[in-house]
Amino acid sequence: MTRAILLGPLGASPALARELSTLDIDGPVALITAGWEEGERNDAEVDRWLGGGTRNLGLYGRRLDVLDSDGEYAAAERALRARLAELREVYLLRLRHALAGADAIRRRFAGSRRHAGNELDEALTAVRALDDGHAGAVASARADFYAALPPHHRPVIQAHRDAVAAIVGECAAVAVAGGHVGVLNECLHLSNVSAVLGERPLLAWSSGCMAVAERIVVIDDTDPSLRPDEVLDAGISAIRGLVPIADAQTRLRHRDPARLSLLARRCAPRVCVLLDEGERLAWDDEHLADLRGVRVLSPDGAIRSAAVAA
Amino acid sequence: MIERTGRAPRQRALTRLRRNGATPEAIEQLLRESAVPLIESTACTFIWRGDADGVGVEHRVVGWPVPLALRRMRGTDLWHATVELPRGSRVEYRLLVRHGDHTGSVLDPLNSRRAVGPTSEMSVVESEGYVTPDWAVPDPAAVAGELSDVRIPSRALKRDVRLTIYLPARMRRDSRLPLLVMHDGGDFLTYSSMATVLDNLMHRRLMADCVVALDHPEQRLREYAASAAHGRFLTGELVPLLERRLPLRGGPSGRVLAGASFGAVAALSAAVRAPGFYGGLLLESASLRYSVVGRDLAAGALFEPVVRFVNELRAKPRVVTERIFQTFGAYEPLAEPNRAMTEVLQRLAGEFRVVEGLDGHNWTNWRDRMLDGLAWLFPGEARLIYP
Repeated sequence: MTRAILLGPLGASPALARELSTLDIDGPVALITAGWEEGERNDAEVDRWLGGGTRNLGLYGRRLDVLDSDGEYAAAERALRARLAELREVYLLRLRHALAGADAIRRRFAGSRRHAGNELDEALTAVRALDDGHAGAVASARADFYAALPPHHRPVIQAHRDAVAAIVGECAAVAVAGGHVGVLNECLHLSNVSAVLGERPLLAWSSGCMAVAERIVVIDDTDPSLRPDEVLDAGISAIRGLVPIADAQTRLRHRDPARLSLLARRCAPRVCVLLDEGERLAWDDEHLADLRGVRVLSPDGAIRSAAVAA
Repeated sequence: MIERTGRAPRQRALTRLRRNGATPEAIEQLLRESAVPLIESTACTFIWRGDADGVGVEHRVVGWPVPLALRRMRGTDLWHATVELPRGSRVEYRLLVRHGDHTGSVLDPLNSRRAVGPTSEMSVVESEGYVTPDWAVPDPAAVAGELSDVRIPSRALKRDVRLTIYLPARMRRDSRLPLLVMHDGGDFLTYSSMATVLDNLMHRRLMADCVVALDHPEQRLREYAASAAHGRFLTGELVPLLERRLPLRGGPSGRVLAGASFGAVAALSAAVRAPGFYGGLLLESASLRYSVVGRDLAAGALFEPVVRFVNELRAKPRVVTERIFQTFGAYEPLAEPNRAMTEVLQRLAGEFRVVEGLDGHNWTNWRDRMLDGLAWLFPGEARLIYP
């Protein structure tokens, strides 16, 4: 059974040690800061916030080492990245049109006495099909890649996986920081972190929450290239049933109910949880353990406290 | 001080000056305490002080009188003219001062804001709400890309071509980067702070890392005027050469052409001559002259090949690229032809975006639109990075 505490982006001096104490653990904490990329080892402050003695898994550095040491794997991974970029580009192109279609239907009926029921549902179904199709295509591309180059047959990768498993094995919990959610996710998958978590509790914050969920949904209304809300990839699925939306205050600026409703319904049955600084969600396999103070997107487009919406 | 708030003051500064007595001391005080031209809400007042037989504003703003004549305030040596200037606008101008039969074009002595271009230096007025983008000024945190000059022989152009190559700071051994070819690259570097813009946008990951080839034209008005030879140079010589020598992605999605004014025509013409070869176009204030019937005599001989090219494009638009980003200044004479061409350009690309800046036909306007254009054509990873 996985227990986890999910937090929004950290403030100036977050009480991470206090959060750990609620997980009732006895032992060191494995720390993942791969999302910070080249800054992965600048973890002294976070280590202090976690009470000291953390063991940084160095997943970003391990990934660089794999790419440096295993030329065949690096070339294949480059091809995979190009394939995934192409899939994403086409998905976003189709998604823009599908979302515009849904918006056109909504506006068509805005002044009408008749509610856009079936028509809007069908437009939404088309958007959901695109999301699911893209998630499936990404999973399929990754599956083909790993089938062609089984990581456990690559000595360098296996050595790193063994080392990660050994460190995690000595730890009582795993903490996952934010940063670049795509890079973080790649590193988590390459080191097969999900397989070695066991029943250790997780403490994740910011985009760390997104990467430990089933599906990573990226929202950014400040994006100068105007990309819509998108399904980026599958996370490591340590957390199920939720779509964490980190840093919502900055990223989710346009809060008209039609947009939020569409987003909530796109992600259903998973629940979109907004995680800003100071917000927390305690979770276990069985149920959302503590919903107090957490905001979720309702299918009607409202942002409500989860206790009311659940 | 002139109030710089969104609300217009009850009386404009010159009205108050008149009412209170426009003495030399009062004029001195007004000019000492105010930025000139005076910006009061959406009113822009140009001012000149001195003896003259006539004063005007030399500008290229469509909608303002040409030249914009200043009137002398009775009993003073203060000349003035007020025009509307919407929030967020920026205009380049000079003053025309006439003494007898002689008219001189001078920079505004009361305004220190200047813009330098390849052929002239201009005074600049910025209305409320205009802000120089922070990504257009040097950021000590951004690591600079590498600039190097190369010369490559061109059979198509029958000369050696000088280029400046920009390599991004984060370039790695295993990188496979897209390529941006910029017409008038030397001028973009000098007058649009292009190296700083690229450094900052890539550092902040607002655009993807890319290699940029900046062209230095020699026969600009001939080679950029929808010339087949220039298209052959780009598509048959330059891009293949760079893709062999540099770690470039290749393929249409890895190739974008950019240009401003005549340079935008050159970019568009090269893409039309090689459908499917380029994945994107960044067209700034393109000199898209055309004629509905007959010849566009006003455009002049230099534009004849351009008019022929644009006329053919309007007659038979077909998809030639994946994305076109079009921008122009709302106040420039080319705004109308650009607006008229929007529908045609849309039909040349799978995706199309147009942005109209509240500015004119100048290098600062083209700089200021770079975030919109480059971030759209080369989407960056900033949206994946969380605190």
